[in-house]
Amino acid sequence: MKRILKTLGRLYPRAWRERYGEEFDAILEDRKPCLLDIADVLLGAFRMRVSVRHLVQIVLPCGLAGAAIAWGIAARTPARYSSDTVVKFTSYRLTPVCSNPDELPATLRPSKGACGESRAVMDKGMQAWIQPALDRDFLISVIKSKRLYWEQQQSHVPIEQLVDTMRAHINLRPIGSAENGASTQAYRIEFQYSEPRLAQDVVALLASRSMDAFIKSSLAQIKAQGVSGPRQYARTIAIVRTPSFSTTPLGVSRVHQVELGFLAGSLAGLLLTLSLGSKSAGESRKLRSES
Amino acid sequence: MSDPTILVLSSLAGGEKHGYAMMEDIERFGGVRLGPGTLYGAITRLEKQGWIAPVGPRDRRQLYKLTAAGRAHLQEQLENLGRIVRTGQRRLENV
Repeated sequence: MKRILKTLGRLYPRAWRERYGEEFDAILEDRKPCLLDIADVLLGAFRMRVSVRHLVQIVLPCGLAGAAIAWGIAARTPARYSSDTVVKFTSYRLTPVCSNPDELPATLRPSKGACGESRAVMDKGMQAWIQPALDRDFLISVIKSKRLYWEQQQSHVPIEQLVDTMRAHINLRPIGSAENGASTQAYRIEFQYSEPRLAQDVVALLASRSMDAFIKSSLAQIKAQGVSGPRQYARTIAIVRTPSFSTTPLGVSRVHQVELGFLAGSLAGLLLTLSLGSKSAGESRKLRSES
Repeated sequence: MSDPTILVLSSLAGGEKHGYAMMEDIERFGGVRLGPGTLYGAITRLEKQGWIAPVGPRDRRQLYKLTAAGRAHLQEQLENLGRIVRTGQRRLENV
């Protein structure tokens, strides 16, 4: 412990050590050390190196510079808002008595113990219903009709690049599944954009696109089997949660970014102060002349 | 009352002492265990203010004494503290 304290004693400024170092080491030898002494010596060294003048002249300006830089970055980075919706796909196995298309509404009730299509089939179908929401032509039509990424459009950014950007801001994710008399899978469709209202509109369009694909796929299946032919499964699609509208931007708020910038700048200023060595050249000279 | 500068000045008011003796003395009369960083922080400030001064040649166990200015400062501080103590006691008695 004494060795640790002596080592920590070297953190004091050189000029101070030249004047008080030997006495300080002697006191560490005489005294029975305790754990609190470590913090005490560390704090003492810090106080010797950093004065109020340093805080005002170096640390505070560095903190303000950090805050200004953070503000600049935050101002150049547009806020993004998220909107999402949840779409639920369900597949029921139809009982023979319900295989008549005229009775289809009644057949949508799952019979006891009956399962829907297998998970693999459902997953495959899900991909077919969800993926059209990412289709290039569809996204181009949304970008143009909703005037998304308008500044980039005005700057003649290639449309393919905007499609890629939009895809990066779309998040399609399965959020749960269940096998309870039927196979159910839910998908979350999210879109992030700089305007919350447009984010919400786009999510509604993406959900509509999925529903269209689902209906087309189901109709194609019915057509393939023949309208009056026996059917094994019935499928439903439901919007579990309507597209959300949020005025709270994603990520760290600008105020917090500025606060973080101030803290980072202050920390840099503090490190700069500590690296400068003693409190000031004048004080060092005074201490040396006194010693 | 745990202002280390007042504690060091009060300790030196009883005579010249080196750092370790000050620590022991302060613990005895004030019940406060000053750490080495705190003690030498106070010694540095007090010497810079001219309220204490080293005695004799430089030594590993350097003695310090109270200067006249230090004595006056301690006197002033203790009178202030005394006023606060007396006021507090009087008010407590009236409760």
